[in-house]
Amino acid sequence: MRGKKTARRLSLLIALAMVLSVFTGCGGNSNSGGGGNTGSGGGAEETITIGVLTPTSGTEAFYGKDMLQSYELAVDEINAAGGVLGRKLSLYPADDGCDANMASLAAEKIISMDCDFVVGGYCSGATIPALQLFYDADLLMLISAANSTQITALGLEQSFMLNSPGTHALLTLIDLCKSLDVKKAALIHQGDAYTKDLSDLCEAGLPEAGIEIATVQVMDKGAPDVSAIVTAIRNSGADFVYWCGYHADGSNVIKQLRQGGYTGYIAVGDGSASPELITACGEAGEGVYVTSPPFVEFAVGGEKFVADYNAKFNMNPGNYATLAYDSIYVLKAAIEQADSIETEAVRDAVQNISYQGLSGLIKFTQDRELEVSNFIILQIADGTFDLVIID
Amino acid sequence: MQYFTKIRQLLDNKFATRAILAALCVIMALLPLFLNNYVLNVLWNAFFYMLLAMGLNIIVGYCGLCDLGYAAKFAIGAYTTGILIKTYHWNFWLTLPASLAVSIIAALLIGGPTLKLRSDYLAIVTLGFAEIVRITARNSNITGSATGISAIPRPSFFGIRLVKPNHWYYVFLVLVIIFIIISGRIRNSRVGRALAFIREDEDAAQAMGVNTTSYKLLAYTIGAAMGGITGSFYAVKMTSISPSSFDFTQSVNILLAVILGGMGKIPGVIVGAAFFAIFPELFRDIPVIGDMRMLFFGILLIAVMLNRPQGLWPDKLGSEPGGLPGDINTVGRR
Amino acid sequence: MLALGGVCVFSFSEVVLQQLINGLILGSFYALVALGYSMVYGIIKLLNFAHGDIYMIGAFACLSVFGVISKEIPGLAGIGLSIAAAMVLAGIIGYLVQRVAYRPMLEAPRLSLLITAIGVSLVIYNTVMLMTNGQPLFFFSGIDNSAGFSFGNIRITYVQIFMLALSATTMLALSFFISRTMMGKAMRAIALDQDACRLMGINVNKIIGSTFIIGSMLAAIAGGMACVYYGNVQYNMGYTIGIKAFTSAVIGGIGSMPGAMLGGLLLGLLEAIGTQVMTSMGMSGSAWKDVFAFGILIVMLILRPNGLMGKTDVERM
Repeated sequence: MRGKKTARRLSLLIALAMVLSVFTGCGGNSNSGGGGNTGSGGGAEETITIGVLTPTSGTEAFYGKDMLQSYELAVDEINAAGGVLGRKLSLYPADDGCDANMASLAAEKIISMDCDFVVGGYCSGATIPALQLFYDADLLMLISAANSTQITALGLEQSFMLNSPGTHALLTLIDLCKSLDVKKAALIHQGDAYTKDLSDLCEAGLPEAGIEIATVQVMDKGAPDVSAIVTAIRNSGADFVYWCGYHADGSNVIKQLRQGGYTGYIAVGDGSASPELITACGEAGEGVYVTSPPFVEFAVGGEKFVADYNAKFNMNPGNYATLAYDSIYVLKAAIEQADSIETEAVRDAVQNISYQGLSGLIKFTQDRELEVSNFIILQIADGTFDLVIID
Repeated sequence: MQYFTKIRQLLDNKFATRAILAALCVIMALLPLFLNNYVLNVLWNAFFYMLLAMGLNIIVGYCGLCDLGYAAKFAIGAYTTGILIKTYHWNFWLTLPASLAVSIIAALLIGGPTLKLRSDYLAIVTLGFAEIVRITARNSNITGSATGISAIPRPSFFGIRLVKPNHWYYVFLVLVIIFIIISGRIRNSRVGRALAFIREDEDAAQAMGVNTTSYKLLAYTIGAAMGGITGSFYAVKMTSISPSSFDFTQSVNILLAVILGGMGKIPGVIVGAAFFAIFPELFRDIPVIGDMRMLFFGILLIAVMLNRPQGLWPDKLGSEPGGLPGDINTVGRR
Repeated sequence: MLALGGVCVFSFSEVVLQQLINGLILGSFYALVALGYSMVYGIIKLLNFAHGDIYMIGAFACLSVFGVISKEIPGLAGIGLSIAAAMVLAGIIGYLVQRVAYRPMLEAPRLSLLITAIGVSLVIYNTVMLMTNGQPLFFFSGIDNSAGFSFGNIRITYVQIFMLALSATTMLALSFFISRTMMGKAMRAIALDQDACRLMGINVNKIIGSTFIIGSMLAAIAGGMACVYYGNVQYNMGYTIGIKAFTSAVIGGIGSMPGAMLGGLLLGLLEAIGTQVMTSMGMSGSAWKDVFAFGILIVMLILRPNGLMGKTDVERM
């Protein structure tokens, strides 16, 4: 009898909890105001709201915040210069926590806030579920950093990738390997979507260019010992090692490769393209190649960007800062070209855009990927990055 | 305290309870008419954690087994559905029995030999098993490797394609109600009492003729099956799954939802899960607090354990009528 | 600029030997952390989830202290002093954690104690993550990490020899402490029967506190070693080694000190050899090595639940 009573009470309380949760949900939403639908172009005085989907909490928060700051910088500049079509821009940042669930909530939040456009996208695992929701809500998204080939494979025509996909890195890598006369390459990735995607592309693409894959290895994040991998690579006869991972562990891998007696070439991917790599590697870093999106230092107007960023946030811009910064300017150019903020018109304008940004020429293919690879090859020499030109 | 007694009396009144319950059902069913998609999705997320927490509750709350790898159970269901739909083009509803079967087989395989072990060993075995599942999913081609499976088609239900947030709100609301009924049924059955006995004093249970190993295995399997089904629905709701959704953090999240509310007690678990899912959303526009939520949960977890080791709203089954909810502790001492 | 050294092909014995050396070094990290797990488990039957995070704190402390003192005391002396400072700090934190979170819980069910430990781990992990923005810090010892001996294709560096020597010394000192001193005897006695110890006039709380201090210091030594050897320190470095060390402790027989050392070394060796064997078979060895390690754990627990050197023990809940 007692049990039944309890069960009844339980269900009641559940319901109470749910009602409570609804209220809290409403409370959080109270500032959205009106509840009007998206898409309807309001008066000319209204600001254009851009939703920002980045991870500002959790393990990837550093990159998410870096991107968000770059967006802020660009928006402030544009607003100071009079805005777009006479209207000011404003940002609505939503944290996706690099998590699929949180990202879909963030996407719904952005949609409910009547945002006109969306920028952001760092973790592809979080970006993919959100993209579907933006598509359903007829919102245009410029993806600044995430570059998984699965994103364009979704075929959602309102999303553009501003970062060069892994296929571009592969082409650059093949150029490098050929110029160095590489016979057998070993790949190391970190087991997450971004680095594994790159590694898989190389594993499929290098043999087609006549370069044998010696072995593919994984270094998990936070497990620094790679001595067993180094020995396995040396034993596999590889004369080239490509590190697909991030700079946090990259220096450690390079150092252990040299400590373990590996004497062949080493190259690292764009996840490791950071000046910190040089300082962290020290001696062992000399001669290491980097396939990298353009560094701020090599871009036209890069110095001003770094100085402005530094002045505003008192820190140096991170890996994806230029791409994020360019995203806002691409959006501005497209809106001006379309002379409207209707999704359809701006989408077509973005599709046909040709914009020279800090990260290179931004121009899209019909698959909404970058048309021109912006990858360059750098080499560490005497403690700095040198640009390597391959004929 | 007076109010609390009054509410209790009200809840004891059969008629009042039914009236309130009916009213709540109507309210919950009508809510989508008044709420925007964002709030519906937040509620959906709360439902989702409620389902997982109720599944884990069977293992941790009812039986007292420590499972640190519940994300794997839910991953198995999600991947079974994802693979069957994407690679073999099955209908979603047909993948449900398959996902149930795979979850049960996996639970029997891993639970069968290891449930005899000491409870702390079980914690590490479940953790290890979860890592094995995650790494296998990450390294295999059929599971889409590290990027996972994306563009899983949404299913239809009697001709309605389930695409809108309110569709999924109703689907998961119904699931929550079903899970509550299942959990309640188990709890008040012979099995439930045997599990509570095992949780309170395993040796005594064994001495009284309860086959502890098979009851533990039963609880473990039921919990895993509930996780598997939740995973299947998750896969089609999200349309994409990847190994990063099933890591250790996720297991800890689900455990947090169960523990904070109160192990073993269904409303406790529900409230815990709702709190866990909704808390970050409340602070979405105040990033300083939102960024620190896991730190906050950690502190809360310690505080709850120190002051009320059975959770904020613990199960009273097993204690004397009228006894304090905390009385359960005296039985479980070493 | 770097001369390509030609494709060196190892002989079979060279590969095995080199992987044994790799495994031994990895294993000595596992063993040091596993000792702390095993000591705490032996004495209060707690799976101290926060132990890996203490290791991480040790590494951060070593890095920060060295950053301050390296100007005055460079090189090995500075590193030694930094590790010592890290030990002190980790000891204090270990004790505080025990005092605040675990001691009030000693009479509570074990599940509650375990969950408290997960809470402590969440707190430490997230605090450090927020403090460092999730970014790694880099350690510059000024010592040439790649200098060392070469025998044919086999390489062992001076730093590696130093690591092995340090961990061996630590483990020997600990064995001596446990078996020869009064406090060590008291620890062993408490592991057997806490109530009897109390009746015999042993200050049980004090001994439990000391166990946490010593366990945390061992983790800090391992953390300091990792900081010097790998050169980068990150908030997430404690999770994997925490799980691996616990696995080692279980393989060796939890509660047993020699078991923890043996288990750690064994797991390190198995991982290195496993990586090599699977790679030679054409698989991605390191991608599967954790599946291999956890598979061994599960099989081990099924076949020999008390580990290699553990005593049969009836669970007392």
